[in-house]
Amino acid sequence: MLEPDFDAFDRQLNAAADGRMRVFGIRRCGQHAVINWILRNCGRDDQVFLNSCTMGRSPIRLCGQAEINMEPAGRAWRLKRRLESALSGGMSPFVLISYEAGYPPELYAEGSLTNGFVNSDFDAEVLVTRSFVNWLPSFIRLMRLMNPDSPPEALEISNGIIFEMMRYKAHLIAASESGHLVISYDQWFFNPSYRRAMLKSLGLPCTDNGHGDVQIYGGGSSFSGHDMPAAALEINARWKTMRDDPFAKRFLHLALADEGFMDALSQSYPNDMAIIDALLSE
Amino acid sequence: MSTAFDTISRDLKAAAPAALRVYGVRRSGQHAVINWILRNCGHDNHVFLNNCRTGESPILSCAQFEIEGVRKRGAKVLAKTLAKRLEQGMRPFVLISYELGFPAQAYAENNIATGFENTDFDFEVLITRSFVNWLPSYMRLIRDKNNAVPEDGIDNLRHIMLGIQRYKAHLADAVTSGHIWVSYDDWFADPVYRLRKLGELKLVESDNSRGEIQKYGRGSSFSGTSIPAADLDIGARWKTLVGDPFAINILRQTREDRAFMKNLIKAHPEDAAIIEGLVKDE
Repeated sequence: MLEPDFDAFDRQLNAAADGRMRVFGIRRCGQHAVINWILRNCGRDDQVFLNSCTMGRSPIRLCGQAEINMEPAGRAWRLKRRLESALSGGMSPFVLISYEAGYPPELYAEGSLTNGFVNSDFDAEVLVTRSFVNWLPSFIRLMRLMNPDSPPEALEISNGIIFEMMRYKAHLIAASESGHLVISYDQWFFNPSYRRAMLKSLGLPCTDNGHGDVQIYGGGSSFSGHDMPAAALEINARWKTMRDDPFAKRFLHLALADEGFMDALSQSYPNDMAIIDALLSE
Repeated sequence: MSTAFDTISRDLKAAAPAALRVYGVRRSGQHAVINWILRNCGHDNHVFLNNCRTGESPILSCAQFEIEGVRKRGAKVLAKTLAKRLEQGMRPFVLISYELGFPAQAYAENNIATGFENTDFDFEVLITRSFVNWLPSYMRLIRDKNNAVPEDGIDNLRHIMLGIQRYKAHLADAVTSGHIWVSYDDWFADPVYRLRKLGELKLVESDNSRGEIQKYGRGSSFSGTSIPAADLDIGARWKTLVGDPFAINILRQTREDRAFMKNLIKAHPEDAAIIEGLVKDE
């Protein structure tokens, strides 16, 4: 869909950019930690980050939020005015555009994901995934935080979780089949040399390979918000919270019934299988 | 085109001696009940508009229709036939049905059917069915419909859970809305219950039998149209859930929703013990 008020400016941003990347994930997969690290290492003085954009539409008009040089810059008209003034001053920014509904192979093949940009404009497409056993408890918490009026075990909560499990599965399978760079948040978090290797794959210099700060997007961590420094997050121990939680374990049972999903999971996160077995046999 | 349909709606309303709307979720025995209402409607002619879309013209959006017992489809055919027959003086009993549950919000906004007002209808009839017998029937429908995906995969799970959420909302409206409420289970089992419901609908009994298996939705999920209605084992479908861990986990997750269980026990009290029997041994 062409958006006349924004189309020309989407193109103008593309023309002015020095380096462009897209990042795809689903909610609670550590996407914003990875994005912030890419921005810190992008090797350019200026960056524009368009977060949580709507697929197939103008990223300037329909991003959730934006940052210019790591500072909040609004969205839609306000963002457009700020960008216009920055670009007219000669800025040539690194542009990072993110999507949070998983990687969409069909839209990618059509080349119409980002208004004003074509696939070949991007230096890299980055797909972020996370181990299922740690993602699930995090997402269950998010659903409950987002639906404070529903009891924690209500059908609408279960349905929201199952919908996102469907997305998790599709994203995981699409990621492994896409041929793009896949970053595992779990490995990224615990292994500095993995991060260095990923920067190399992205063609970026390594200037700040730390975890960075917990990001504001999505309220930070589902478990501790912004109360704990990023390095102290126990992102690989979230599965332990399911031990005494039959409600959470039933989602594992239901996931286990989906053979295609479990095949993909055992390829990408082999340790998950043993953890699921252990949790369900307790 | 819509103007022509508005004229026909107006003429149909003016000609109808009585009109009612029936709501259910799929696999709740709706068409058996509808057929029984039509057999007892007390008028020589009836017009039945099946599976209409909420918020649209039922004449334009019905999936099929029946005029004088003949079943057809197509809005233009319907408009033409209605115009002709109304001009010839037909005064039909009108029944309009919806299959996605009672649309409480559209009802409150008087916006269920364009061309009609809530007050054009003598009764709103909500049909429910016991959950433990509905669920296996609905699961069969979903699994048969999506036979390209694995039976117990997340895609089917998503559809089944959405159906359950719809069942929950519809059940709550049946229990609390004050409209006429027909339990398919009681209707099927008990001729006296049927007589009482005819009384509530201000209809005079002329054929209180259960009638033949209807073709809508291809009859029974279990036996199609191959066995007589009286032989259907509609109260024993729950037994197919025994030994189906996928279904039992769905049942367990649904049972966590207290508000739902409260309404269910009110509407279909026998379900409580059957559910407890099915979910034990977790």
